[in-house]
Order: sequence, then structure tokens, then C-alpha cells
Amino acid sequence: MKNKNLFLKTRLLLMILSLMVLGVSFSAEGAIDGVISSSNHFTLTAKSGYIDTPEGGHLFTWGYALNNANMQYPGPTLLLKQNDVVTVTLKNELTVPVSIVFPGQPDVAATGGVPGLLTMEAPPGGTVDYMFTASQPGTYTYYSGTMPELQVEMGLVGAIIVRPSTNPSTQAYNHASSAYDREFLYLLTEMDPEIHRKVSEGRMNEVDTTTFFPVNWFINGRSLPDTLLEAPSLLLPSQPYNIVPRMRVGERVLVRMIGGGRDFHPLHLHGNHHKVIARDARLLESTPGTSGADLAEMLFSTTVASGQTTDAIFTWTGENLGWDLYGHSFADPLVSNETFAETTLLSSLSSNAFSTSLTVADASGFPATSSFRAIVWSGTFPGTTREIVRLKRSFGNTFTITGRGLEMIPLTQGNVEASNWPSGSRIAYTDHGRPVPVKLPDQLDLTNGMFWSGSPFLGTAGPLPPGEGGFNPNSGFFFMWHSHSEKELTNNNVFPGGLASMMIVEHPDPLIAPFADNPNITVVP
Amino acid sequence: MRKRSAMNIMKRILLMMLFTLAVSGMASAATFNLRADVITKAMPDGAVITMWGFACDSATAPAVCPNQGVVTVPGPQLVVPSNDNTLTINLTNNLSEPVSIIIPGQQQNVTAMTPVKFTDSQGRKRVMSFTNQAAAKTGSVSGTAAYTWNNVRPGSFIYQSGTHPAVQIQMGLYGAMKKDFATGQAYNSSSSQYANEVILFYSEIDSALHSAVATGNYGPGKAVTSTTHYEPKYFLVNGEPFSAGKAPVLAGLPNQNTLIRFMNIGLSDLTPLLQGLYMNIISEDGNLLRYPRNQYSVILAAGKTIDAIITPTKSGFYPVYDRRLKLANGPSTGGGMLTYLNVNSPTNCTANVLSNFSLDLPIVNVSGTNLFADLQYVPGTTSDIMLKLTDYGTITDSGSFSGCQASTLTFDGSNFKLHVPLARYSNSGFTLDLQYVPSTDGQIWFRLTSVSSASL
Amino acid sequence: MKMRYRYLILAISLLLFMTNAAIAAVNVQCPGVPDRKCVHLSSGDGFVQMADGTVLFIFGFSDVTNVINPQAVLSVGELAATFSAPTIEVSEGDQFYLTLTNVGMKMRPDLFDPHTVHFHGFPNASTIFDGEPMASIAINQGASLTYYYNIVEPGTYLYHCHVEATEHMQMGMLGNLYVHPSQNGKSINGFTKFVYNDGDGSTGYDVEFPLQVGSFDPRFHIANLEIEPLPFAGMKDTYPMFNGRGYPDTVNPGVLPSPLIAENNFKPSQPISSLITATKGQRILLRISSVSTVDFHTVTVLGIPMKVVGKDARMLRGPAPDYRDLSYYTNSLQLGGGETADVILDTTGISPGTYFVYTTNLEHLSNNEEDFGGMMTEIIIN
Repeated sequence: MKNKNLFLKTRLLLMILSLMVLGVSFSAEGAIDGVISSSNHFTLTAKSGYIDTPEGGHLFTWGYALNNANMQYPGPTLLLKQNDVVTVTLKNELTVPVSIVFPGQPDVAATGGVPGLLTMEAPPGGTVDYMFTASQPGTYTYYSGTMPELQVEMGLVGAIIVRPSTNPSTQAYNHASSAYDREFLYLLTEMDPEIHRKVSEGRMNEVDTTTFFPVNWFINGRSLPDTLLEAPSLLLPSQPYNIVPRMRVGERVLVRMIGGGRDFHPLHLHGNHHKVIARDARLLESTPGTSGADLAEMLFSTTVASGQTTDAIFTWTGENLGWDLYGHSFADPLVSNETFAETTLLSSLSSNAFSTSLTVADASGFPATSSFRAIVWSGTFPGTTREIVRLKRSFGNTFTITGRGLEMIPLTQGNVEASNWPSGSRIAYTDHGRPVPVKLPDQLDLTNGMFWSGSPFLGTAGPLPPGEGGFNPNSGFFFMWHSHSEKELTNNNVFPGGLASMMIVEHPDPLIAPFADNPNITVVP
Repeated sequence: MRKRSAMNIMKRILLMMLFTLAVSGMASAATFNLRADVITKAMPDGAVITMWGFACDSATAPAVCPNQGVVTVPGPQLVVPSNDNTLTINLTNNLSEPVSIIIPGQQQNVTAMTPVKFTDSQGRKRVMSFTNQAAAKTGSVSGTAAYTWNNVRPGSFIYQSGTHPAVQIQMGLYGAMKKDFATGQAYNSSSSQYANEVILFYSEIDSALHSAVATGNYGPGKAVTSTTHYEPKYFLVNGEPFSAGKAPVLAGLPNQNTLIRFMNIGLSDLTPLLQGLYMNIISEDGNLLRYPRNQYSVILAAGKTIDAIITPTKSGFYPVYDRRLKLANGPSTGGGMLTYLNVNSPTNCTANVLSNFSLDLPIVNVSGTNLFADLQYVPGTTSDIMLKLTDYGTITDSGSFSGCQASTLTFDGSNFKLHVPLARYSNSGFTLDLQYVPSTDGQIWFRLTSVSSASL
Repeated sequence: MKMRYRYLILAISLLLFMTNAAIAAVNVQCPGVPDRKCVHLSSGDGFVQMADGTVLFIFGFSDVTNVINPQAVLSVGELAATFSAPTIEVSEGDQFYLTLTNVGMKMRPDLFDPHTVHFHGFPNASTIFDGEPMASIAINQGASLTYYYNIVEPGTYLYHCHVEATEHMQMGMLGNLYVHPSQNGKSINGFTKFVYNDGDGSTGYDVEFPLQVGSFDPRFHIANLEIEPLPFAGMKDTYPMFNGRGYPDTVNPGVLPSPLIAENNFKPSQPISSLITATKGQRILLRISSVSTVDFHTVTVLGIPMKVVGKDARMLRGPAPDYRDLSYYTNSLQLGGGETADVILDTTGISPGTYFVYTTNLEHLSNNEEDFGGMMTEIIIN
């Protein structure tokens, strides 16, 4: 509650209104906004402007504009195809020399301008052409190679995505291990407003980049809650990209992370582990070019290092929650991705037998090491009689019973229990029909988040007091994806904010309007 | 591209050096006699920083003292020959406080180190030194200590003070130590074979701390009582921040493997980034990775070493810089942790050394210009070996230098020092000291003042 | 299946975390189910003492699992916050019931902050038990919320309060959460304790120690106690710690004495020693985690090779079908906030003696303005 100010409230209100107006469908939820050139010739103009930060900050910024458009932060995301021969023409409307470097791109040929330390530079009013062949797919970055310790801070940084020649719209690389259903960009940066103030006041000679002390943090050029605003937004004319990842249960989300600034950020993805498949646009593979991402790592936080890129696949199914994610009763049908590993009992299970073992025909779908809940029944599921047991694998297809006759009370339909099962009965490993195992506190004892649906179940809303919750129209699961340097969850001394956004898992039910990948893509000649 | 006639003097030098190296290549314990001492270091903006460094005063063959007797920061690079398993450092301390030497990653596994502790005002013991110390110099008596590592394993390491590390490492008491598994192979894996080698040793200077220590204002009750306010102002590669005109580092030829040893003794974590190249990261802290990682950048945490191999396919100047953008010298841009790798710098070939002396000087230029200078031996009446500059200019057909070895030329303000590698591996070679001799004959003359074996 | 949409509420209060006056009660849920594991935490405030003697106000958790009378928790938990927070250890296959009772801030009666537990890294999490307050529920003062977790993935996790994350985490609401694998108890290659279900004993160990990297900014803690505006922007941590203490308090083998401040009722609040002891030949497991809210830290073990076998609560093995061995040896490990790693130190061939664990970000070898301290501890090999 502390240090919250009017600017933030206003910004939150705007965000909320935009989410509400949009209702079920968020804008640009499905893919990566950027620019495509039909002739593979991009013109970027370095110019100055201002960006807005949610606490009311108005920062003088240098950025790359597309052609003669507004300065934007970050620069346009260049969407390329593998083997494109690309020309980027840089026009300089700043009062200082400027340039572009393209790490990870081999043999960048620069023509025009004057020699600088890292590449050819465009003097004020001048032009440089950079040419390269995007020979390898992946996630890349570009930024100024001229006084980069100042100019990257000032905003001259952007992203490049090179799509593979194999399955360019569903794979990040030329191997199936990089397949995805949706993709999102996380270009992470930070700013020290003192530096921007000095530059805007023409006191550039007073800038000392060794005292760099950022207090604003960004994903794709915006800070929470602006990260959730629509993209583009009239409110943020120089910050055209947002970040609102959204997925359906079971889908694979490609997260393209780029360290655009000077600091490392530990990007923590709530909801599940993510599988890191590539760094610096190269698959983590034991045999380059053939083995696929066989060296992938499962992480819950990724260090996004300066200048480095990391690609990760996130998925979420809700498996192993230990209760029915959808709030089903036994009689309800299964939904896609719901775990239901079913097989036949090969041994009989007599009533009141504890600490005994039972054998099943096929245990391949059962947990290898964990204790788990199973349903035994005969006939057609859910059957007229059934029993909940808890099992742990002893070896192979043989399991030890650690609990019987469970969940008697919460059963609401077909509530008939049995406890004598002949060989040939059916058994399934599933959470289907299991209620939430705890009772929730009285509503008065709770503080409800704005994205809280009021119900533990996906796709289901619950009662909420007036004024709480309310911004989760499909009753999805919102997970915060954020920097775990928690200091970075602020906007220049105001909490909450900073390097954070919300990822939304939606119910797989077709009643929710399908959401397509609708990136805002500008096509230039 | 340029024909030379035979020149016996150079040939004789070469043979002499080869012979010396051959007879000394027997297995033995590498012993270095190091001295901790005070130096000052000038920064490009004119600031003069008091530092503590090491000098190698002598070494037992086949170990070689680089910059013999000269205090440097980083300290002299200690090369343990592949067939040596034992490293001994005899430390002489000329500083006003005790110092010691540790090598993280190398185990002194005969006995544990013997930490030195003190008791604070609450009766709690705190470590002053991780291992036994060489006492402070008192009067004219220097403190001494000896350290031995058995079973020295191959890899890239940083030797450093184990005493009061928060201050003494900042002050400059560190250097590179390396051992190869075999000649031209860093580790016990063919993936670590290399034809050329580059060391990029990163460090930082917080001038406020150096000034406090130098003026006696550091310590309990004094102006500065801890290093918590660390704010480095200078960002160095191999002991120097980048400044305009700094020579690039020679990094072999196209399609050759060049090993880059990244070392960071600064207190900040870095991300060296190779512009225009990828590298295979093969080891961390002297440990071969099971699977190399192909990246253009690498996280180089404080205190860490990383070995990576590049195999550029084209010649050129490749910038390597810290992507955390520590690229300033104080408030001045165009400095800091920036290095150029010069691939296929057309320097003189061994063959050229055997004939008339050809020297090709690389210069830093994004357009990739390479310069050459031809030196000719002119027999004279004195015992001096005089070399005459006969030609210089820009090399245009650098492709004809394929197969040449990389030499480096440094200039200390009055004399040139030419390092000539003998074999493909730059750690075995010799050094020629060339003194410019003013002359009235319209020619540019150099006198060869000394020849020594050197670790480059 | 029912799909219900709730009406969007148009009258919006923008106080996201507004608390309500409630008639609340402590309510511990620990039902008699198989594989049950129950823990009861209280959340509140307290004090800790830094190694240079400075006493800092904190928010934190306290373990009240063994308090028999639930209502007594409100007083037992008062000013009982510890740093690090109580370590939670559960086992794969457990049905874990974690009750959080919010006892309020004794030193800040003006605050009505709710609290949560975020089980950091819990796979396939649900929002209701995720503790991130924008997307979930948080428990108000004087009341209890029981979280349920079906524990399936062994490894080294964290937990922390996610409400007002920057403030509550800087203030110390940070703890360790370890999940032991079901392979424990089997004998593989002479080991009976393992970090993961490795099948080959490669993650086996004899003794385990926590190594929680953390740090405090004293200015922030002082401002909080004195009800001053919180200096978020200027946040700079100058008390680097292992397990809630700076060196040399890290090597105090016992519970650190209570901070010398009467308000705290002389309750000890820094229970976790970082002194690591083992007998030569044993394998030491270091469960390293970072809860720093500001900095990355690199931790080195001087003189004993570090084998990293796990990261972020997963064994370092590649995906199916090859399950490539991604474990590696190193001398140091860099961790950002919210990252964890499992490191094994094999003391075979290591001479008895004292070894040091410290950060190579050497300016963090300070307790604020005091030298020879900070993020350092010792290993004693006997």
C-alpha cells in the first residue's frame, strides 16, 4: 500500500478498462509483433522522443524508428526468414553518431558512414547500410555499437527473429524439439532516469556510465501494468509492444528471452518449469544440427544475461495437482489433457486389505516414483460402484496400497462405494472428480486479487465481494512472469510495477472463443 | 610476396632458442619465485593508481618468468608445462601487510591449507587469510612463504591473494596460471585442441579504494572501513583498459582453432560478447564440459575462468567486449573491456624470420588494414646487430600469408619488443628487444639489444 | 461440465490488496489422509541482528506446527519472525497441508498487510495455491489459509510471501523448501539419501546443508520500522548473508542468540547455522538457493570441487530419450534471486581441515561498513 500514487492508479484503471472493453479477447495476444519487409530491406531511423512509465515518468529516449514513424522503444522487432539477405539502412536524426551491431550474425557488411569502434557509424544526418545473410534461425538482438554504454541505456536496442526454413510458423529451429503453439518475446531492459535527464538537458558530458543505477525496468519497452495494456496503445505512442502471453491448457509456449540492457535479470515463470532449448540462437544439442535440444534444461528461473538470448518452451497441463482442476464430479466427462491412465487389475483386492499389493496389466501411465490417487471400478466408468485408493509403485506393474476408502464424503454423484474388487476390474490413475482437499477461509478473511476468478477451478468463477477480482473474464489461471530481483518490481520508487507481466492459461473448452495469433505486423516494401 | 635472401644471424638465433627449449623440456617441478610489491598504473585519462602486483624474479626451468623482475598487474602468467605435476611458488612480500597465494580450482591436497584467523571484539574468530602468509615487510626484511600444489591439473586458473581478499584482490594481487594437457591441447579431449591462444584477463579498478589504501585511510576507524561501496571506474583487459589505438590481439588464421581463455578477477559478473563469431565453450573453472556450448556470448561471473574455442572462417578484426557495457574509462567513452581479435593478421612468418627480417604490424581499423614493415640485417663493424627499415606499407594480399605465425610488437615508449613464436603455439617463443637508433643517413635503424626466451 | 462466467464488476476499487475487517479465527486443516504432511506457519514481524551488531526489523514466518491450541498461535507467533524462515522438508508422494496464520505486525499496528505463501517452483501450479496476490487470494490478519500441494517433484525449492513482493521479500519473508525423493531409503552405491531419483546414486550424499544466499538493505528496514517512505528506488543491499547471518555468525553452530532488543521478547530469530561439517570421505550436499531481492551472487568453495547435480529442483539430465548427463564440475556458481542449485562436494581425498565458502563478488565480504564479514562460511572436514 505504500508509495502508491495517483499515476499508478490511473494507469491501472486504464489497463483494467482496456481489458474489460476487450472482454474475452485480448489484443495481440498470440504472437510477436514486429516488421516484415517483402524486399528484406528495412530502414531504421535513429531519433529522439519520450517514453512514459507507469509512475508518471516521462523519459527522454533515443530509439530506432521504422522509416519515418515515431521513435519507438524498443526498436522494431525485425521478423526474418532463414537465408534472407537483409539490408538495414540506418538514418541518423540524432545529434550524435549512431550505429547498429548484430551479434550472432556473421559477416555483417557495413557501407557508408565513418568507422567506429564496433562498426561503421552514421554521423548526424548520415546513413549507413548494414547487410547480412540471416543464415541461422533463432532469437537475436540488435543495438547501437556507438557509445553503447550510453546509447543502449538511451533506448537504441531491439530484437530480431529469424524463422527456420523448416516449419517456420511452428518451430523456432530446424528441429522438432523446438516446436511450439504460441510464441512471445521477453526483451528485458532497464533505465536510469538520471542519465536521460542529463542527456535531455544537453549535459551529456556529465554522464558517467560507471555510476549507472537503474530504477525503471521493462519488458518489450513497458513496465507493469503497461505491459498488460493493448498493443499498440494510443496512450503509449513510443512503446508499441505489450506482453500478455495467453495459452490454452496443454499448449506449448515459446518464450524468447533477450537481455537487452546492462544488468542480468532472473526471469521467474510462475505456473510451471520451462524447458530451455537454445541460447544465443543455437539449440542446446550434443550434435549440432542433428540431435535436437537433447541438452535442454528444466528451470523455474532463467538468468537473462546482457546481450544473450534464451529460448524456452513452457507448457502447463495442471497434471499432478492432486485435485480436479476443473471441479468435476466423477460423472463429468474428461477434458483434453486431463490425466486418466486406465488399465486392468490383474490381482484381486479384497475388502479391508491394507498394505497389500496389487498388480495391473499396464502401468506405463502410472507415476514411477510418487504415491498417487487411483480409482477402481468395474463396468463402465464411473460405474455404479468404485473406490478411491492411494498407491505407490513397488516395482514394475506391482503397487502397494497406502490408503483405501478415501474421499467418501465429497462424492456427490453415483455415490456408491465398494471395497471388493476381483481381478479384471478397472483402475485409473487420475485426479478426475477429486475435490480441492482443503476448505477455503471465509471470504471476509481473504484479500482477492484483481485477476482472481473467485474459484480454484479453471474456467469457473466464484463469488467475490464487490470491488474485488473482476478482470478475468474467462476465469483463466493468471501466472506472474517476472524478474525475481524483486527490486525490479517497481517503477522509480513505486510498487508494484517493473519487470513483470501476467501469463494466462485458459480452459481448453471450445466454449471459450478460440484466440488466434494476431500479432501486429507491419509489412514494408 | 616479398623475396628475401638468407640471413644467418636470425637462423642462428632460432636454432639456439629451439635447442634451449628442447634440452629443458624435461619433467620437473615448475617453480616460480614471485614478489609482491607496489606499483603505480596510469590510466588513459591520466589518473595514476597505486596497485599491488606480483613480479617473477626467477623460475626454475622449464618454467619461464615472463617480464622477469617486473611488477605487473595482472601478475606474470604462470605456465606449468604439460608434463609437470607440481607447482611451487616461493613468495617474497615487500608489502606492508601480510599476503598469500591461493589458486582456486587447484588443490593443495597433501595437507589442507592453514587459515590464519583473528579474534574480534566479541570473541568471534574471523579468517584473515585462507592459507599461510608471507609476513609484511619490516624494515628491509621481506616476508616469505612457500606454496606447493601437487597433481596440478590442466586448465585455466587465477592465482590470487588468499589474504584479506576483499581488499588485496582489488589492489591487484592476481594473475593467470595455466597448464595444458598436451602441447596444443588444453584438456584431455580432442575438442580442446588449438593452434593459437588468446588470454582475456578481466579486472576492475575502484580508484577510491586504491586511494584509501595508498594513503593509509583504509581500516577500522578510518575513512573507509569496508569495500561495501565498491564502484569500479576502470575496466581492464590484460591489465589495460581499452583506449584509442590499442593494438589488437592476434588470434590465428582463418579455419584454425584459437583458444580463448576468459578470466575474470573483477568483483562484477561480466558477459564477454564476440561480435561476428560464435565460440564453443569447452570448460568452466578448468573443468572440461561434457558438451561444448555454441554461443556468441558467455556469462563470466566474478572469479571465474571459461575456455572457449573459435574457428573463424574469415580473416578480420573481431571485437570482443563486455556486454554489460563496461566500456568507459571513468566518465570517458571508448574504453573499458574491449579487445579486438585479429584473425589472419599477416604478420611475419617463421620462414620470413629465416630469411630477411619481415615484420608486419597489425593496426586497429574496422576496415581491416594490416601494415607491414621490412627490416634488413646489415652486418657492421661492431658487435651490434643492426637492422634497417627497408620498406613499410599496407598489406593488400593478406591471403598469401596463410600458414604464417603470429608475432606481436609492443612499444614501451623508447624501445620495441618483438615476440616471435617458434612453433604454432604462442607460449614457446623468444623476444627480441629493438632499440631505435637515430641516424643521419636518412635510414631508420634499430639495434637488437637482447634476445630472450619468452612466454607470450 | 459447467462453464460459468461471472458478471464483470464495474464498480472497481483500485486498492488491489485492500483488507477487510473480519471476524477471523485460526483454523488448521490437517486431515487424516494417507501420506499426510502438515506444517503450520505464522506470519508477522520480528527482529534480527546483523554480524556487526546492528538490529534490523523484519517481516517473516515462524513455525507454529507444534502449538497445540490453535488460538494461541496469535500470541506465540507475535514477533516470532525468523530469518531465514523455517525450513520446510517434505517427501515425494506427500500430500502437503501448509497452514498460514497471519498474526499481524506487532511493531506496525498501522499495517493490515495480508500474506501468502508462494511455493516457488512448484510444477503445474494452480493459482489458488500460488500465493501471487494479483491472481490469487491472500490471508488477512488473524485468520488462516491452508494450502494443499501434491508433492511429486523432488528437489530444492523456496517459499516466500508474494504480497507486496518487493517489500515483504526485502523484509525477510523467505525460506527453504526441500522435497526428498522416493528413492531415499534404498541403498545405491553405499548411499541411502539422494537429491533426486537418479537410479544410479549419482546424487547420493551423506550429509546435507542449506546455503541460502540473501541480503538486506538496512535503510529499507529502518524506514519500515520508523514508518518512513520505503526507499524502493535506492535499494542497495549491504548485509550479504548465508542462511540469514553474516560472517562470522554464519559459523556459529547453534541458534544465534536473540537480538538484544526488548521489544522482541528475546526470542531467537536466526536459527540456521551455515557451519558445514563432514568426515573425510563423505559426500556433502549443499542446497544452494538465492533469495536476494537485488543482486546476483557467485558462490565459491575453495579447495573442494563442486559438482552441480541439480538446478531449480530438477536433476541435471537432458530430456527423454537420451537423458544426457548435464551435471558438471565447477569452482563457483552464479545465482540470481529465485534460483536454486544442488551441489555435491565429494570429500574423498580432501585433507581434514578448514575450507571456505564465500562469494567472489568480494565487496559482499562485508557486514555493511564492517570488513571481514558478509557472505562467507566454513567447512570443517574431520
